[in-house]
Amino acid sequence: MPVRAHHPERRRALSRRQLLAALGAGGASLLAPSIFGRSPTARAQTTQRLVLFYTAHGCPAEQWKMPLGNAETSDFQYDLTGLDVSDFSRALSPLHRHRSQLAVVSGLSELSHMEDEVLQGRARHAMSSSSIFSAAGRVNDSSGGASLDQLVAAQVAVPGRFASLELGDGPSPSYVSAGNQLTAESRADRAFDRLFPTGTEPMEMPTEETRIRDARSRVLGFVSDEYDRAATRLPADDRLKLEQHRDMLSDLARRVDALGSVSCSAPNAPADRGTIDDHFRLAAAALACDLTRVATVTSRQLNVAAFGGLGSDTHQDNAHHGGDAGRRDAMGRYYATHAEQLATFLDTLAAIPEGAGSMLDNTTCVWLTELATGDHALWDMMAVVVGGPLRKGQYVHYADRHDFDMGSRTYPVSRGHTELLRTVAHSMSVDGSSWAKPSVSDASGASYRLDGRLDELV
Amino acid sequence: MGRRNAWWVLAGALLAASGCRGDLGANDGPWRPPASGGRGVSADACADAPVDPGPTPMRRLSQSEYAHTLRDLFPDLTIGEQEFLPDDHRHGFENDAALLGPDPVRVEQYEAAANEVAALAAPNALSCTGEERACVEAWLHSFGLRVFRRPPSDEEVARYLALYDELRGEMQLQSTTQLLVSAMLQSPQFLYRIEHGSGDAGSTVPLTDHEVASRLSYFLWGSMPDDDLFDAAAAGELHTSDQVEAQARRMLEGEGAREMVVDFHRQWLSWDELDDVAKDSTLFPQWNETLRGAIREESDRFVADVVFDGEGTIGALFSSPETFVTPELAELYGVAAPASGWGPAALDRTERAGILTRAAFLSQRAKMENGSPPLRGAFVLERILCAELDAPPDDADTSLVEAMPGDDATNRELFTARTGRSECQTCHEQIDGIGFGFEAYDAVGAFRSTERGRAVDTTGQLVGTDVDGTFADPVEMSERFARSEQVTQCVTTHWFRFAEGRVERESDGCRLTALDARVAETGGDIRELLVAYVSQPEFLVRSGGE
Repeated sequence: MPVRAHHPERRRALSRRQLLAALGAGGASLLAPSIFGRSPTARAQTTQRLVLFYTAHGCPAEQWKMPLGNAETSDFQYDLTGLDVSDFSRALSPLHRHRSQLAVVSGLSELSHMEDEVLQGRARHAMSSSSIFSAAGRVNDSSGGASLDQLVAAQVAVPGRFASLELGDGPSPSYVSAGNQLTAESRADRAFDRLFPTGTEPMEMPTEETRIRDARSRVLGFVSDEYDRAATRLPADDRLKLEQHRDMLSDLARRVDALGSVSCSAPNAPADRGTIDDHFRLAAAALACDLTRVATVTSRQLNVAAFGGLGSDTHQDNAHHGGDAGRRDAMGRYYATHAEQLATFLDTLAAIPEGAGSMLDNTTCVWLTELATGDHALWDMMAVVVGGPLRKGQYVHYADRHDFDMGSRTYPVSRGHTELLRTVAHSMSVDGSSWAKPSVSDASGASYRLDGRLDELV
Repeated sequence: MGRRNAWWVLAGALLAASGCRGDLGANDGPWRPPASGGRGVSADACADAPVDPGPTPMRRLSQSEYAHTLRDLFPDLTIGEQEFLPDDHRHGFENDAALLGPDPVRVEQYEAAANEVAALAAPNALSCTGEERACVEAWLHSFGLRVFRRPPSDEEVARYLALYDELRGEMQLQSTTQLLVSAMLQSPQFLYRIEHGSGDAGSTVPLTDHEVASRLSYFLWGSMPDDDLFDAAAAGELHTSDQVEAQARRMLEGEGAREMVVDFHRQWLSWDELDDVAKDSTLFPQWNETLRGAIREESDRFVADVVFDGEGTIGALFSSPETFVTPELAELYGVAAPASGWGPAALDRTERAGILTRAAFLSQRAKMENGSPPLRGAFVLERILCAELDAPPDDADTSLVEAMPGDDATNRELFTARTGRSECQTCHEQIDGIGFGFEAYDAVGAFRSTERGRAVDTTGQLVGTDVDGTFADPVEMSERFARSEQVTQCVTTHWFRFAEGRVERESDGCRLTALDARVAETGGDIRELLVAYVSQPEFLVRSGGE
């Protein structure tokens, strides 16, 4: 497909074999041969990207932790790179092949969410998606705020490209601001249409159809102006909605213009709603083509059959494991399934050369779960970081230091997961100094600071 | 305080007294007393109260309203189903104004849908025999009226004409028209229901006749006004309650009203969730797409029949044994099957009474293997009795209850063993008191008198309601609901939420009290409830505040 090259001097051709590996297609469905006609645009090494992965429920501790004989009553860290796959925990074993890019952090708690629960007594499933990456919670409260992806997107977005992509079939954890949630596109085929609006068809001589298509951004601009006019006469709440709609139309108009000049090949379109793997492949293609630098992939609860679970209901018969060893093992398999999805995505990024290394070197992937465990705990959560500029190839544990008073009982906690998110933002040179809650309080009034960073990862 | 309002206070006191503060977790209890919506205010106080519509937020067309509006705007076109991100919902309703904002993905989907429909519409959108620009201008006035649901202003027409001028220089008339249609279908006037009103802003602002026409059509039809409404608005005949009532009675005779009433129940009772229901194929080999589709459609047919062809009352929704069946449904219900397709059927009055004893509700609120008393009881409490429920406490065991091999324990016994502890009973007394009554039905909604060879115990009790006490079976429970003032007022509250696109407030007390009174006078007539709602003076004004 003849396209205009934005930065022809930076173009780098990949071999067919490289691309096949890079896009994880393996001869299969989504990114099949049409991709080979063009190449992703290589970018300067300083380009940083962020990918968030958000999955349902939470993982029992013994299924993901791997202290390797270290006493968890003290802080410790060790090198992951020398471990054999048999040393890896059940849930994280698929990530063994990326261990040099992997940081597993143990001992973090969702302190911001815990404070919200003390204050509001809200149900945890309902709260998680609004608080997990915003580290603030309270959807309809001004104390909540933007999620990490949106904080980063606001500072790294390329004009005319997607500021961020929200993909997958789970609840969206992406918030522009408190209560202003971005919806995830659950259909891979529709996500493809957004990313590659001209599809894979070669460009032809202008026809009436192409004239209509070329006028698209002008029509969007016209409609955007209509929203601007209509908004002026309305009460504040209504006006805000129309102004938001206006801005979304303006963004779309700019993107329609800009995407026409993107130097990148569209992969083959997914045929239907797709799987999480399909969404990850689209995210990889979008990142490789620099259509966006921030992506969030969210997965709804897996079906029992997808991970070899027990009973008929993932939530009730597996996630709510209580002390049942069989259910806990099942949840280990549950997260191993997600870890394999993530690992496959990482395979793709790792296989695309960039600078002296690969795209994965400049793409920070953060995987957090809805809750710390399937029985609704919020303390000692699984936290996985892969790729990007943070110090990798290590397992870091923070020992419990405090008893967080939830009112009805106390729970031992160490560092807040806010500090991990802050560390990620800082590593991307994103200013997060005024982002998220700087501290929280428990039911006894004891204060916990969240404004620091995890130095062990820097 | 009138007797009519006494139960709100009684129920609140009972539920609050129950505490629901067991030691299961940190939550403050899973439910709160039903909100009264300000009920309880005296008739004298209401007589002297100024007209107060409460908040009147702008509303984006819901998914359903958007689809109906496109269909009615282009009756000659066959428009494929447009797939959008699902609307959020509150209390089941997808038309809550607070949730109907824009979203980047949805804005793109609106554009794609507008382009697709415009391409279909453009070939026959206008035919110009005279001077083309004048022809387009006239079309913008006439087509704009139907798209904007009010006459477009001269300034608006001038702006669209300027777009025409710009585009026409580059492409054919049909292509230009296509883009104009696309632009109009993405405009705020089409996608949002904007009410400016007429006259100066005080505490309230009278709506224009065209705005009243839209309020009527979107409430009673879930779609745009028809020609009669446009004509009445143009003639200035939609600004008194009598005029509105006359139109409402006409509209309730139409197919659009049946469609709207069905849609209300779809949302209120969350029937769409049936799409995700699966059953154990070993235990229920009859469960397949055909049966599931029939169960879903039966709900629509039942509601339309009760409201428009039958008794027409809220009570009948909970007591009627009449329904429609396919051969597959007939087998499930144990009645004679029609030769083919759908046919009317009278279900066994000792087994079935109304909507809560039908397979749609029963199969949805069940596990794959068996019924779920907590799911069924909690849903009834929330949607039929208007109690506010939170999720179970964090450390509550909500896993599947299963009998051990060789154990002949019934489903009820298994659940009793789990929730019978005193700390559970603070809440499960109410939840299971209702839910256990539905043990007369299995996971797909088939009636059963035995389970694992033992007689099924279908007794239960209602606690904290105006029809409290023990009952023998789900039919008796449903008949209690049919005569319950609390249930009738809860249904009225749901209609109010659906109509207003918001949750009721204390300041809505006079309106709700008046609606309760009208419903009581008419024996619970649903159509009279709808007419009473649009006949209130608040229907003709918007809030004047910011």
